[in-house]
Amino acid sequence: MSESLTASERGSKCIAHLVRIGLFLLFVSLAAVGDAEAQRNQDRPNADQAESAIAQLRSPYCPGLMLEVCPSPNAAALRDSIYELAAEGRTSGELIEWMIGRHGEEWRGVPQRSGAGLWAWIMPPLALLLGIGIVVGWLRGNRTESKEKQLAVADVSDADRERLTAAMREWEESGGEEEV
Amino acid sequence: MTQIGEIALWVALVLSIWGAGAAFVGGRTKRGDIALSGERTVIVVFALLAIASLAIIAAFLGNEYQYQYVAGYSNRELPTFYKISGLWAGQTGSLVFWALLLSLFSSVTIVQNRNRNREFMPYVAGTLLVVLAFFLVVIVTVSNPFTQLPFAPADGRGLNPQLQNYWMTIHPPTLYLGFTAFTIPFAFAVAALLNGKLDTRWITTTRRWTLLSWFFLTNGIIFGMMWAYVELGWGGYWFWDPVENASLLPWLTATAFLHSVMIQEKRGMLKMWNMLLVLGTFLLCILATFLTRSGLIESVHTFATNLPIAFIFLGFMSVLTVISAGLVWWRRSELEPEAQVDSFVSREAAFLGNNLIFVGAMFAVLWGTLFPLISEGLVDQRIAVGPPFYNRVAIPLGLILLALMGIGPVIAWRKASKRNLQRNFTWPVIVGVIVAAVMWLSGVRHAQVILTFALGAFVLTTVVVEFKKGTVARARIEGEGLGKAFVHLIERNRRRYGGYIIHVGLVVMFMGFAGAAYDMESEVGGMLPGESTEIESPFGHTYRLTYQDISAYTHTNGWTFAASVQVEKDGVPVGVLTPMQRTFNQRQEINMEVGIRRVWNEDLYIILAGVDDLDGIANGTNARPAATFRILINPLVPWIWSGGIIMAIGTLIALWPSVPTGQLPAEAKTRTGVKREEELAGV
Repeated sequence: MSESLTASERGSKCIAHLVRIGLFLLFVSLAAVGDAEAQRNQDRPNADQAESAIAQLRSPYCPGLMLEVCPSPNAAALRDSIYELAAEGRTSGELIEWMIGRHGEEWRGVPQRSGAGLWAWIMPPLALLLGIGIVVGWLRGNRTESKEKQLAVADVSDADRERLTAAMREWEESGGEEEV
Repeated sequence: MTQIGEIALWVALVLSIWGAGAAFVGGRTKRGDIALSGERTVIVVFALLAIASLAIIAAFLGNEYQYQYVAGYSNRELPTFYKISGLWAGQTGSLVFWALLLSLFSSVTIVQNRNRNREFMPYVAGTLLVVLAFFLVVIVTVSNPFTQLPFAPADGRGLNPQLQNYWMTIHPPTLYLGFTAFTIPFAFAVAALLNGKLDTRWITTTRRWTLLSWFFLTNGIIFGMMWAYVELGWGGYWFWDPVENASLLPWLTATAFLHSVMIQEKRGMLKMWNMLLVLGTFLLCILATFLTRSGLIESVHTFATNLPIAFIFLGFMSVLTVISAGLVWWRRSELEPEAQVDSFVSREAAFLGNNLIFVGAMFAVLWGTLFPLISEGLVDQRIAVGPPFYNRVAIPLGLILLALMGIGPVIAWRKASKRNLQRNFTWPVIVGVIVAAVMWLSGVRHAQVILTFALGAFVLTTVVVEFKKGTVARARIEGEGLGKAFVHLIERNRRRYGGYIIHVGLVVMFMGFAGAAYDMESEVGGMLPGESTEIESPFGHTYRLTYQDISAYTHTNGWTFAASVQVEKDGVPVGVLTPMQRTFNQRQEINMEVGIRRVWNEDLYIILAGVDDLDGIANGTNARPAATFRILINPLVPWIWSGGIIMAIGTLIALWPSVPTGQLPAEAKTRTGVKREEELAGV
C-alpha cells in the first residue's frame, strides 16, 4: 500500500512538473507576443482606419474573397489606394463609402447596422435569447413539478434519511463519479 | 466496362425502389421474408454501385473523352492519381461516390444487425434505400456520368488546377464519409419513430456510427482548411465561405448530439431534443450538398454549380423535413423525459448550455450563409455577409463553449454540491487566472486572446486533474504502476478519456485560432533578383528574405514558375522557400503554390503574387524578372493542425471497441490477489 502511495506521489509530482513546463513554454511564447501588437503597421499613418475598411470590403477581383486576402495585383493596388486615402485623414466609414461609390454596393462585405442589414445582426442573438428563455422556462417548470412530487413522497423515516445522507456523503467523497 | 456501369446504375435504381418498398411493407406487416428481401437489396445495390464507380474510373484511366464527365475533368497528361480521384472531382461523379459510400455503410449496418435489432432493421433498410433511391434518380436522370458527347474530343479539359492538390483529393471523400455515415443514425431514428421503440436502444446501437461520422466530418473540415491554406494563396485557412459553412453546420449539431445523448443514456431526458438533433443533422448534410452544388451563393467553390440539381435537393430536403416533423409530432407523447433537471448547477444543465450554444452557433452560421438569398428575396438587395460578421458572432460563442468544455465533464450529475465544485474547480480556476494575469503582465492586451488562453488553461487543468485522479485511484485500487494504470484507465473508459483527449485537441486548436490576432503581413512589389525585404515576427525575431531568381520548367500538365527566396532569421540563414505559380495547358488559369517555413509556433508564409513576363522566363529571354511577393507570419497556425491530430487520436480512442470483460488479461489481478474476472463475476 505504501509503495503504491509513493508511486502515486511520484506521479503527481511528474504531472505537476509537466504542467509547470507547459505553462512556462506558454508564457515564454506569449511574453514575446505581448509588445508586437503595437508595432503593427507603424509605418503607415492612420493605417488602423484603412485596415478596418479593408477588412469589411469584398474584393471585386477575387470572387468570394475579401479584399484583405485577395492576392490579385489589382486588389493590391486598391488596398494601396485605401491606405493613401487613410493617410489623408479619412475614417474607416468614409473609406468604405469611397470604395462602394466606385465599385458598387455588392462589394460591401459586412451588413450595415441599418435597414435590411440590421436583420443579419439581430437574429442570431435574438434566437439565442429565445433558446435560453425556453430552456430556463423548461427547467423552472420541471423543478416546480419535481418539488411537488417530492412533497407528495415526503414520508421517509428518520433512519432512512440518515442512511441516505451518509450514502450521499460517501458518494461525494468519492468524487461523485461512477467509474474509474 | 462503361456500358456495364450504366446498366448497373439503372438496375441499382430499380432494386432500391423495390427494396425500400419491400422493407417498409415487411416491417409493417411483420413478414420477415419480405423484410429480409428489402434488407438484402442494400448489399446488391452496393455491389452495383461499386461496378458503376469502377466503370467511371476505367473511363478516366482509358481517356474515354466521348463521355462528357471524363472530358470535363480529365486530360491525357493528368497524373493517374488525379484520374482516379476524378470519380469525385465533379458533381456527377461525386453523386455516384456519395451513393457508393452510403450503400457501403448501409451494407455494413445490415450485416452487423442480421441477428439483432430485428424490430428496427426493416425500417432502417427502407429509410436507407429511400435515400439511395433519391441519389440514383438524380444520377440517372439529370446527372448521368455516362452521358456521351455528340463527338469524341481528342483530349479533355483537364482537372481544375486548384483541385490538383493532395488535400483537395482527400478532403471531399472525407466529408462525404461523414455525411453518409450520419445517414445510419438518421435511419435508426426514423425506424424508432416508426416502430415506437423510443428508449435508448436506437441511440446506443448507433453510437459508434455517430462518432465515426463526427470523426470524418471533423477531419474533412480540417483537410479543407489545410487545402485552403496551402492552395488558395491568401494566407488563411477558414474564410466563412458558404460552402465551408455548409460543412460546419452538421458538425455543430452532431457535436451537440454527442453531448446531449449522454444525458438521455444516463437520465432518460432530452429524448425529443436528441431525436430533433439527429434528424436535423442529416437534413443539414443534405443542405450542405445543396449549397455546394447550387452556386446560388457566391463562393470560392464556384467550380461546381447546377441549379436543377440544387432544386431537386431542396425538394428532397423539404419532403424529409415534413415527414420527420410529422413523425416526431406523432410520437411526441412517447418522447417525454423520464426525469427532470434537478439544478442549474449540474452536469445536465452544463450539457444543456453546451447544446444551446452549439445550436445557437449553427443558427448564426446558417443565418449568415443564407442571408444574401433572404435579403434578395425580401428587399431585392443581395446583402453579403463576410467573415467579420461571423467572427463577431462566433467568437463569443466559441469562448462560452470553451468554458463549458471545462465545466461539463467534471461537474456532478443531478446537483453539484459546494464540496464538488471546490474539489473540481479550485485548481483549474487558479491556473486560468494565473495564465490571464501573466499574459496581461507580459503586455498582451487582446481580450479574446487572453480569454482563449485563460479558458484553455482552465480546460487543460480539468483534464489533467481528471487523468491524475483516475490514474492514481486505479493504481491504488488495482495495485498497478502509474504507467500501466494510466493505459488501463483509458482502455477501460475509452469513450470518457477519448472525449477528454478530444477536448485537449480542441483547446490547442482554439489557441491556434487566437494566434490570428497577431498575424503580420507585408507586400513587396517589383522585386528584382538579389533584392531583400524584412518582416518582423510577433515573437520578436526578424526574417530577412532575399529574392534569388525564378526558374521555369514544365510539369506533366503545364508550366511551373518557382521563385527561390533565401530566408534568414535574425541574420542566420535558415533555408530557401520556393513559392510557385503554375499554369496549365488545358485551362487559362494560374494556380499558386505558397512557400511555407513551419516552426512550432509560427508559419512564415510567402505567396508569389505576381511575376512580370512569364513568357520571357519560359523562353529564357528574361534573366532578371520582377516579382511581387505577399509575405505573412501566421502565429500559432501549426497548433491548429496539431490540435486536429490530437482530436483525431481522441476520437479513435473513443471509437475503438472496448475489451470485453471475458477477454481481460488473465494476470490482471486486484491488490487482494483475486483474479479480475472472478471479482467482476462477484466471487
